[in-house]
Amino acid sequence: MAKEVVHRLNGNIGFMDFPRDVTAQTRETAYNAYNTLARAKVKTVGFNFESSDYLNSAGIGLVISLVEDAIQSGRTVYAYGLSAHYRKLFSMVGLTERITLVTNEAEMIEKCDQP
Amino acid sequence: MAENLSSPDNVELHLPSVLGYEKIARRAAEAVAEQMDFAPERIEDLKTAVAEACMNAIEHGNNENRAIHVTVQMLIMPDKLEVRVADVGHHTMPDQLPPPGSGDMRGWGMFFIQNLVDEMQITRLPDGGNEVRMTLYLAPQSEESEADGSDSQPSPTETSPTAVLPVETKPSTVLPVEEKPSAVLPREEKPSAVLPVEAKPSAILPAEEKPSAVLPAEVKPMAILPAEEKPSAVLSAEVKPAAIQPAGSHPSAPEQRSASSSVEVQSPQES
Repeated sequence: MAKEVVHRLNGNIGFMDFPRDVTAQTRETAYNAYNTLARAKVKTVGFNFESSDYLNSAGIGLVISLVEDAIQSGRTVYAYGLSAHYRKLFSMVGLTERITLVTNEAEMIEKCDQP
Repeated sequence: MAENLSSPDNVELHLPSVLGYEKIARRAAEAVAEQMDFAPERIEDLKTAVAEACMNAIEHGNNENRAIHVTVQMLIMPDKLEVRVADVGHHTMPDQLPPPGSGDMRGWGMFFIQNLVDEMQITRLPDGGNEVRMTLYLAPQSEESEADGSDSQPSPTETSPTAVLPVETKPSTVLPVEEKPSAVLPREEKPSAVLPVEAKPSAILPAEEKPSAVLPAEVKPMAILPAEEKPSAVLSAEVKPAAIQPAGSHPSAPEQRSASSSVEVQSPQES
């Protein structure tokens, strides 16, 4: 089971595939993935949590720091693959006011294609 | 404490103080709560609360010393589940919890615990340790929730205001090369959620690549939402008058031992 955050590019959209556990130990690879996408000048970033089933407070703090930077840099952030519980936690910390939660990658791409 | 504590079933775990073992407690809590027929969403709340309490105990209370164990007690009662997480107290819980994400505590974790369980209480144990007690009730506790026809097991977060939180401040030991040097603003100078771009210090990257850098968590000065909305995240005495016991007041000790089962989870190095 992967423990690292992996980045992908699809045109001008960047994706970050988060591992099963999103914790403080995820920090370094998440930064690396994000910075790689940023250097590619993506305007939209998708956080893929489809493989993630454990996000602790440090992991959510990590997501917040990435989202903050993305927003400051003019990027749009989507997140998908979250369970109802983690959607609730994201809402509790205010993340849902900064990012768009979608069901899956296809829905995200569809939204990105809309004018 | 006159509730029915005469002979609760007691499941007890002893976890090495190594991050990652909190997931054992999380799974155990899930199993116990399932057995008690808690609603699935409440079980998820409990799992997160237990994991966060264990992480606090591992990291702060026991200084990640794997030779010292975190004790997790799950007291199963007819109307509720009480989970107690105890450490040896290398880091004493303050009388008032700091805002989430601030200071050297895992403020986010305490915030989640506070908002995910029906009751939370932090007690200093006679031996100097800290004990976090978390209670989930099987039935609604307030007349209001019964009167308005809400579900039988309302989640505390359903009535909690949206939180507004500063970011996790736990430093990472290894920072990516691209990360910007610190742009720390004192807390009182954090007027808004997002710093304007021009306020960000340029750093290693050329100007055109500035947006690519990620602020390391430990220098993160911003909160997600504007400062004026922050107070909801602060755990104050007014909000939770019983949340923190003053030093020396120990309303109870682990007095329930009947029908207990004990599981010792040893770290690999100990075996």
